[in-house]
Amino acid sequence: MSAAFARLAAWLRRVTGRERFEDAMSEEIQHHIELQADDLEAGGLSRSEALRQARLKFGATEKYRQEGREVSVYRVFDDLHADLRDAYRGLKRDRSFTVVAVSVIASVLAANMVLFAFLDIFFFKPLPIEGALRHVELSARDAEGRWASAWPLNEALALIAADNPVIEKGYGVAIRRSIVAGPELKRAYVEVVTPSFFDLVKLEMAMGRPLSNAANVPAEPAIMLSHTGWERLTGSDPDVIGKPLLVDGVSLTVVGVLAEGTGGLDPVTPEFWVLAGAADAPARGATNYTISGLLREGVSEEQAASAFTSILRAMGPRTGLAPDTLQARVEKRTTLLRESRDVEPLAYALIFLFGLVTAIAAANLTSMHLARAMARRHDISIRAALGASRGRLIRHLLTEGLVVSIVAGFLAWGLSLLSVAAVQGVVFSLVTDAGMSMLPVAVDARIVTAAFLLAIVVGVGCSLLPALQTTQMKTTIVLKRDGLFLSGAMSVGRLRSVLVVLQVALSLPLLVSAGVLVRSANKATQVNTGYDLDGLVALRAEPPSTALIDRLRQRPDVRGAAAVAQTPLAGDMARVSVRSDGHEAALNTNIVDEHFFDTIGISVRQGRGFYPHETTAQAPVAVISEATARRLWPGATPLGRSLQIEEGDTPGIYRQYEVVGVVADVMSGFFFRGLDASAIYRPGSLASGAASQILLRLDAEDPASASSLKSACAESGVLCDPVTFRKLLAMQRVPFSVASLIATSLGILALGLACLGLHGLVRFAALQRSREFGVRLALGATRGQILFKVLGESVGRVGRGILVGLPLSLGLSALVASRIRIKVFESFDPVSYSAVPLLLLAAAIIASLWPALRAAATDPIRALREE
Amino acid sequence: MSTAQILPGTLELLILRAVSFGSLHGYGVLRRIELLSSGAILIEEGALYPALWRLERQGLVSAVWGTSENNRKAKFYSITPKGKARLGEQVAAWDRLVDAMDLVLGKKVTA
Repeated sequence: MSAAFARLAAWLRRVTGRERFEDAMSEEIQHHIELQADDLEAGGLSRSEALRQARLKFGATEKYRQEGREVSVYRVFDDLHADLRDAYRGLKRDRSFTVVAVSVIASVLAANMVLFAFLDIFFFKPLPIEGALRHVELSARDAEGRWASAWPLNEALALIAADNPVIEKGYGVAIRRSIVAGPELKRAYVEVVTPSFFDLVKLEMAMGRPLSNAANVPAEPAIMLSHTGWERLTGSDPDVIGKPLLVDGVSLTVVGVLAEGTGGLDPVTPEFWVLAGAADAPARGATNYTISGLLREGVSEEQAASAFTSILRAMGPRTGLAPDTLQARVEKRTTLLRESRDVEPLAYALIFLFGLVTAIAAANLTSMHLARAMARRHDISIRAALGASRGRLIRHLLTEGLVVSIVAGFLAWGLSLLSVAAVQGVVFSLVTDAGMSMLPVAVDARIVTAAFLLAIVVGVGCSLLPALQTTQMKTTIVLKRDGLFLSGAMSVGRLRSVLVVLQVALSLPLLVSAGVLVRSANKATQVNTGYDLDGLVALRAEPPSTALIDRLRQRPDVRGAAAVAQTPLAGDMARVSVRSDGHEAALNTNIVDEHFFDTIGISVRQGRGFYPHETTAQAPVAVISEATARRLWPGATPLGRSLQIEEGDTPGIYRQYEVVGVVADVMSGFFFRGLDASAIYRPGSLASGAASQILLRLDAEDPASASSLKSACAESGVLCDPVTFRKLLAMQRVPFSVASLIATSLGILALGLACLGLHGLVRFAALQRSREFGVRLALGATRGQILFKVLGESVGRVGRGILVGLPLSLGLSALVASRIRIKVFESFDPVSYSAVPLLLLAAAIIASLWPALRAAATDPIRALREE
Repeated sequence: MSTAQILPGTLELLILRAVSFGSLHGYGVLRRIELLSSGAILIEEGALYPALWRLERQGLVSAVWGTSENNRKAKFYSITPKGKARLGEQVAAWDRLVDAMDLVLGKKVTA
């Protein structure tokens, strides 16, 4: 190893010109000596004697060569080399400091790298298309509050026509959940795209070709698989090109497979793509397309919105909005995440939390460097006495911080690579069951470079204050017992105490937010939906048919079967305009058959449910929830009253319904909204085509039932994919689970760092005060008293930290409460606010116990002898 | 004449003065200083070179490799315009110091 370093050093000397410089000095000195020897020889001395005397007259050659090096440009490298060598020796000697300091920086750095790897791909990285900064999406709303962000295919094609004056390379995308048949049925997340999609998105193919981007309608009955789709749906079949895949009961040909890591323009990568207008499903089922494209050069978002307003108004009611009051909106979407303006605060909140942890680590590191500076005060004073300037000493001390940073940077890099894979596995596993996959997250060169820079800033910055204070000390000063002083007479011990208080103060909001999120996630598992979830299954069937549902009802393990338009817990119900007694409001509605209330277990409080003939004929009757009744007719019976409900397809056209029943309030949408604020049920059935989803109440939630259901569907010539209501609810809780996982990890890290800082401080203080403890013990104090004194001081520090941290935490809670209104999320959770300070105090006692016991075990005689 | 040790900080002045007459190698600078001082000023020979290299680094002298009078490879130093200006400043400073010392020592009387 040393031979290798020697060869490397020799190579460096050659390439930097150092060798030439040294040779030049030697030549010049030799020339002088020889000329001097010539003169002496001319005076009668022999050559050898002349040379000897010439060398003596010249003086210590190496001394002058060294002075020459110090005035040369190589001095910087020589100093750096010396500092690095000293830093290496010093860190090797003090292994505990080195290990702890490197671990502190590396752990925080790795956490930041993982965070930014995720944020980068979803929030910061531009879309992988040319002109990403001009990428926009279209939406529209009218004066009645109706909102449209997707259009039927014909309207979509008209909106993205090539002669559109404000956008170019426009494309439409519709999302579909299809069922793919293979060795087992699988649900797949599908994107149906207009042919123009491939003008904008350049895809890297692993096999085959992309879908044809010719504007041909009907499009070819073919699919293009993503890499994940190829793995999951075909078992990574190497000969998949040209093979058929059964999708929603229809055979489609695989024409291409994308390379790994490439996807569309969404964070969720579809398993395959189909061209819009393809003759067969799934394109057949996809009705509405979101519209996106690139703003033409020189066109602003406002100009584009104005142009689209005119185009949409000219389309009339086909847009689903009132033409006269319709206003288009064109918004930039330059990153993968849709509606990034709404989720950007989340990204900044995460950055803030990670910043808190970094600040805690920085305080911890500064404290450690202060302690180390104390230990090196004699060494530094000797260097100063030998002539080292203050700047030179500071550089020497900062080099240690730099070495620690660089080593920590490499360690963090490795940790982050492992962590990203693990975190990705945990977070994304929650969505892969739904047939979705996310783009792979990677720690790339930009993140690594930024991390190393951060490591250097933190590592060097945290050693700067101790370096400045250590080098301020004069060699003639008699040092006080607790060492160095700042200009304001704050001792090192006091400064370290302040840093520990700071760490505790910053840990408190992190731990409180972890507590709040964990409890919220827990509450989310205990939400009352208003009906029994056990045995409830949503059956996605393709195609749904009356014969299938009748067959399923015959099964002994099926207690009930119903048809519905919108499966509860699978998203919000449709909101439509409702008029009653001269008032108008946007209320939730669903279309259900006569078996729905019994199957789900929603009790009828007044009146009745639907009759079979009503659901078949989609009769003008309605059943409303109790909350809706209270809202529309407070204190009065709603039975027999009339409602005018806007028809979904034709704005401005209302149909009259008579209220025939009132049912209990239940939860149909997202769990964090709680029980439905309103619900109007209208009659419909599979036969009428108004309800296309099948719900089943099974006897038991046995996995065998799921496979037997699939078999029963297959016997009817239908593909189906059952999913339990519990799973639907679990899917909704994913963001909370992820958020609580992140906050808990950060909280544990922050707590660990604060405990580490406290432990180090108590140890330091105990060492510094050993004489004091010796005197106390000699004067009659008990060891118990010493123990409680030291522990009491630790608890006092943590208490001060809690007092400082509480207002910070309360302020954050208030900020969050103003932004997030979710029923299960309680920003000012009293349990978290009570438990966290107790946790910190308990941690303080544990962290301080060992050094406190050591302090209590002080030998008074030895302590009094020490100077 | 008895020899004198040079005062600290004056080596730079002596070197600039020596090379102001023409380019010289290090040994030549030493000999010229001895000649100009009639042997009164002794310089520690090795100490000359760090001073020369410092002056070169500061741009007050420039150096080129050539062949000396005895056919050996040598580095020749010449004063630069910046060096001339510095020489002028240092001579003026020296004159002021000498005048002040003369006054203190009674060798000079103010007008």
